[in-house]
Amino acid sequence: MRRAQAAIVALTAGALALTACSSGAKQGAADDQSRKDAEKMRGQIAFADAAASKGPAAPIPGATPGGTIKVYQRDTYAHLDPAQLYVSDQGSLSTLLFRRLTAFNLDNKGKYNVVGDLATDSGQKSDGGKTWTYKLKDGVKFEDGKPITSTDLRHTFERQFADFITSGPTYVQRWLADSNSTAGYRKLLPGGPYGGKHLPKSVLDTPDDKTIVFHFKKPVGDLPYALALAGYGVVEKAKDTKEKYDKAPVASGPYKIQPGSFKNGKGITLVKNTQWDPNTDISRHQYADKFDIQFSVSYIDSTQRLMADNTDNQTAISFNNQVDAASLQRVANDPKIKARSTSGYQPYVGVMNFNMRRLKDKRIREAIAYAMPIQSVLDAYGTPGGGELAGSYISPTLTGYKNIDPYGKLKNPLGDVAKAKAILKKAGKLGMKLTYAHNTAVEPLKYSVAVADNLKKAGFDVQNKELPSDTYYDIIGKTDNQFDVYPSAWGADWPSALTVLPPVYDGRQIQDGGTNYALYNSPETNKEIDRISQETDPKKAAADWFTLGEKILKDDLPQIPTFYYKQVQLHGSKIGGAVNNNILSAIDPTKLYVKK
Amino acid sequence: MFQENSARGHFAMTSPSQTAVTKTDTPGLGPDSATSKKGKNGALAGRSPGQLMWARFKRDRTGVISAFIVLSFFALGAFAPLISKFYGKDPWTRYGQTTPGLLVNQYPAGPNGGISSDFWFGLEPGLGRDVFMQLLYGIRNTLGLAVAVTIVSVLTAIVLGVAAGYFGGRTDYFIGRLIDLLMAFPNQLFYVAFVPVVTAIFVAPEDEIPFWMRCTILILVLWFLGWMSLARLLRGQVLSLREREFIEAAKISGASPWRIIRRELVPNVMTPILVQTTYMLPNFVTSIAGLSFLGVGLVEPTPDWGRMFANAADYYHNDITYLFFPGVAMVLFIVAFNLLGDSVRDAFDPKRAR
Amino acid sequence: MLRFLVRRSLGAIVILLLISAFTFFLFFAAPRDPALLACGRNCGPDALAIIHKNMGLDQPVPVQYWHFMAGIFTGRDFAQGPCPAPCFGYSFATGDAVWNTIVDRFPITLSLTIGAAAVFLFVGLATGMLAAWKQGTLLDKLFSSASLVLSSMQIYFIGPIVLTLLVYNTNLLGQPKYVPITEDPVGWFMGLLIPWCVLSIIFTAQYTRMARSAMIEQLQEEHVRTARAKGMSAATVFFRYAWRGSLIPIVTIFGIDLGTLFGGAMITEVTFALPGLGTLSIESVLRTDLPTVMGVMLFAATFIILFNIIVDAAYALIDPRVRLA
Repeated sequence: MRRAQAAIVALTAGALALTACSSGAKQGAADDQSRKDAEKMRGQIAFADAAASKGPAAPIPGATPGGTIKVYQRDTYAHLDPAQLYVSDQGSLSTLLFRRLTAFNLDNKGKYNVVGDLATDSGQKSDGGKTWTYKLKDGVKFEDGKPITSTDLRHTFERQFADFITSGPTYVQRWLADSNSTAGYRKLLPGGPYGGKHLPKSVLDTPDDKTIVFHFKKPVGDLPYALALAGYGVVEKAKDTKEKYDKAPVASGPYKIQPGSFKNGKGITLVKNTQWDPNTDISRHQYADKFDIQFSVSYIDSTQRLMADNTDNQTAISFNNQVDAASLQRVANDPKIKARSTSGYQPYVGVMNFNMRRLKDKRIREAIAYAMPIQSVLDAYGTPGGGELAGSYISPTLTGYKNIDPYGKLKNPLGDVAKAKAILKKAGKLGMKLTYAHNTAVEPLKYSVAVADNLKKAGFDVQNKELPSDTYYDIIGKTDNQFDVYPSAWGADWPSALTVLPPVYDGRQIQDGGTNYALYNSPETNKEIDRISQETDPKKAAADWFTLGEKILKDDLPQIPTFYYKQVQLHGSKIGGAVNNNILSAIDPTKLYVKK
Repeated sequence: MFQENSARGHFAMTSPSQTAVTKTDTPGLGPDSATSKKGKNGALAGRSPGQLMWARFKRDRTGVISAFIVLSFFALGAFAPLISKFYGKDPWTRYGQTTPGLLVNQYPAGPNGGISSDFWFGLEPGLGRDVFMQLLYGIRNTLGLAVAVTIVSVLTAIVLGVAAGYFGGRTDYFIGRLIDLLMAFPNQLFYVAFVPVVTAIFVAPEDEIPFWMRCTILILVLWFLGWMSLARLLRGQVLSLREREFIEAAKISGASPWRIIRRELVPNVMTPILVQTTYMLPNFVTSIAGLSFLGVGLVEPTPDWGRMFANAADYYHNDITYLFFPGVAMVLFIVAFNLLGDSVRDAFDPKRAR
Repeated sequence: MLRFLVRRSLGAIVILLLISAFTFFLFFAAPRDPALLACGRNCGPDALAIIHKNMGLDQPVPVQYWHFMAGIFTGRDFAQGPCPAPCFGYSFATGDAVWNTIVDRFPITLSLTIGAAAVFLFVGLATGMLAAWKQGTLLDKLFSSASLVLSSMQIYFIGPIVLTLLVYNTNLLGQPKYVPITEDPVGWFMGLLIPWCVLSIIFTAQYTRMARSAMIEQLQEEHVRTARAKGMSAATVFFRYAWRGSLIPIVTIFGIDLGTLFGGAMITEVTFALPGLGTLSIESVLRTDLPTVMGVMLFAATFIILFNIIVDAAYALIDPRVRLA
């Protein structure tokens, strides 16, 4: 009998061996389309006037109404309260649900501009940019049929000051309060409007039902961009339930949440909002009857399902799931699947931070920079299509971008260990202890093996520290953190370097929980930041920002860039209108329809 | 644990149905099964129970082959550094990344996971390390941990089980309730939940966790819920041995309890200890691998058997070869160990031979 | 019998209390601030303090434990709203009521377990008894060897292989997924077919081995041999008497297996990306989401203890020789 067992073992092993045969990998074709799209986007986002903000949106050629679109999402939406929305998956959702004063509009030709959404235009500036006036369109309503008035918008902005709003953008609040810190702006209206207090007329004024006026202390050039952020979606004052609004918000866009359909880890269903009037909206459509969104579908899962494209998945899509890193090469090599993909840049630039308070000697930072295997970092995010090796702090999607490579990283992306070692030797620091911290997400775990390996070979005594991924940024955001090198990524909130350089390189903003992770403080840079922030000519400002970024990189080296994030997404064969939206850095959800 | 049902062996014994259930995987107990006694009585002239067992075991060809396979795994693990020297590669170098042409878009350029005369088991997708070396060192680390957990658990089981059985009364009661309590823990969830928690208690978030500390924590957590079934079994055995004449005789002759336990009781329960150990060890191996699969085991760059499965979960759609070697090695090891366990049991208890 | 049930239930409550205390205090010994999770990007010290207060984290740990335990029976009031009994609090990570999450996820684990259990119990018993009936024949050897190899398989190894063979390479079946049986019974069945089979492969093999040896043991029992000696045919003895006796230990173990599986089959759920209790527990562990971990831990432990009691009670009912002391 035992002999039979041996035979079965052998048989099973044989069967397994057969399944294990596979062919080798193929070189995928490079994707240049996204580069062209990004170039098209740079420097052409205009603020639209009333005529260009008038609805309805031009129909998508060939689009038909009806049908249900299935949506696979990895993460449950952490928030539904518009004021708490910020990250990209929430951005996609809020496009369908909530209207704001302004909106980014991507037209059928691939051009972007900022249009009036609830407002009639992208905003009227006066007083040298210190005062901005918005008039509401006629016929804009909440899902319950109540008209949207200036009272609702006043409330929308005033509740941003409440303590329970912690996850949304803070630009407008900070401009209104003329405050630079995360805690400071709340002093303008402590606790928000719930105690019956309001912002004074000298800050936010609503002279009539249709008019909202912002008064700032300093000129603000980028307000129409900022107001288009998901976090400034309108909230109905009469229905505001404070913390509980996060579970049941009132929609104003073409879709609303089917009551009771939101289940953490499982899904949410969006149905048509019949109160939404297409004639008031230039940037959205309402083709599908329903979006059936499922959560907890991993990138691998959604990729496998959408690649299979069987009956279940032909009308499926994902707003924000990307093709998982391991499957990118298959998508690139299979023309049938590739035809069902969209791709583009994300605003993020990955960097390795050098703790400027601990690594004061620039030679050491140079040694680390030379040793850094940026190709391995990028590989962890998948090739081809997961990203592009970076030479600068500023992403190719931003106006003013130029291709630079001061440390030869693009030529030697696996790291020049010999050169690093030579520099370190010259500095007399061979064998110095270096603490490299990273979080425990899949990709950092992978590339950190290569990073630590290279640094070790370059002559450092590397201490490899793993930090929990959910609180990673809180830990490295401490000003007294005990790490020397740690990765982070920063993305522009709108296509202007104003949302990149000041938050990351302004030394006066160093604080616990701040975003100057390298703790970089140079009076010269700070002064330059102040100067360019006041610059009114957007073209000149863009060029100056880029020059400043290049100078910081060359002279001070607080971070070494690793790669520009990109994403590839798939959709089912019966989905129409699938285009990448560079502002959402994802597929554009309002243009989707079900092919008949 | 991560055979989803490993908790069962333990719980079976919490029930009054004990004997009926445990019959399937433990040697029979009670007055007629103390095989070793027969040897002492001279019924089988002049051979020690160990010799008898060994003689029976040698005749069992499957047992011998399984033992050979199991031992080769341990040998492979133990001599991994030596093999690495002969093979000319190590488990840490990223061959695929540093040598152009081996990996294309992260995947091995050659067919079948890049198997070649240079890389016997192919290359790891992504980092391009040598799969053969990764597996060998992974086996080394996993088996090392499993042996450590087994030793600690068996020692704990002997101490607590024999104490409960021999002293009875309050000692027995408290140990019994402790076992009841620990057996009610959902053990999978416990392992997964407490590895990170225990780690966080011992290590400040800013510090690197030393390798030995990770190992200690894994051993600690697995040990915590790993010793009860054997302890309960030993308690039962000792309970029945306690009433036997030779113990009575030892007591009357004035031997101390410690001496009785050491010289009379423990040698008489060596059989179930040995048999249970051969079942425990492979269970710990799969548990350790399961923890790594779920992301709470050993971490990079330490090569680890179970983590290879977690990596493979990302890559198997495009490179199933990478899953193949650790998987087959695992199945082979567990099958061999189970067969060995059966043979050891049969050798100790010939009446039960099928 | 009643006394037995009362005594065991009291014991069970004590054990659950101890488990909850152990989990609670060990988690709080870990120096991680769960409030950081709930606090957003713009989290200042003020906002953090508010969250601490909302979560009750500003109180001493024993008080927090008391509130937590009391909440299970009486419900609690949180900033997010009232949390009716049984209240396990709100998740630190998602802000959902833990009990609702468990109730939501449990059907998935339940479906997975029941389906797999049906497969492995039926197939395991059938093959095991057949092997015992045909003891020593080729069939017996085949079943026994297959069960040996299969029981040594790991889900994270065969799961991907089965998926590759049946789903990705051939498209014979769809990706495993969970659809509520009330919505679409066929979809429910097809979606869980692969996980059932893979999960039950290991169990089936063990039940085959168990059923076989229990059956063989029964055939050597005195009453069976007596029946045989009285002239009954082998088949009659086998199907009328022996199988009943051999069921007892198997039913026992089956009950215990079910109890364990109801707490979440972690590896299977992770391998097939099914969002059941197992996936929930690993998610919440990695996010230091104490209320959810506590909830799942107690939920799973309750099942284990419950099924142990059921098994013991059932055993006493079946076998008069066992007395419930």
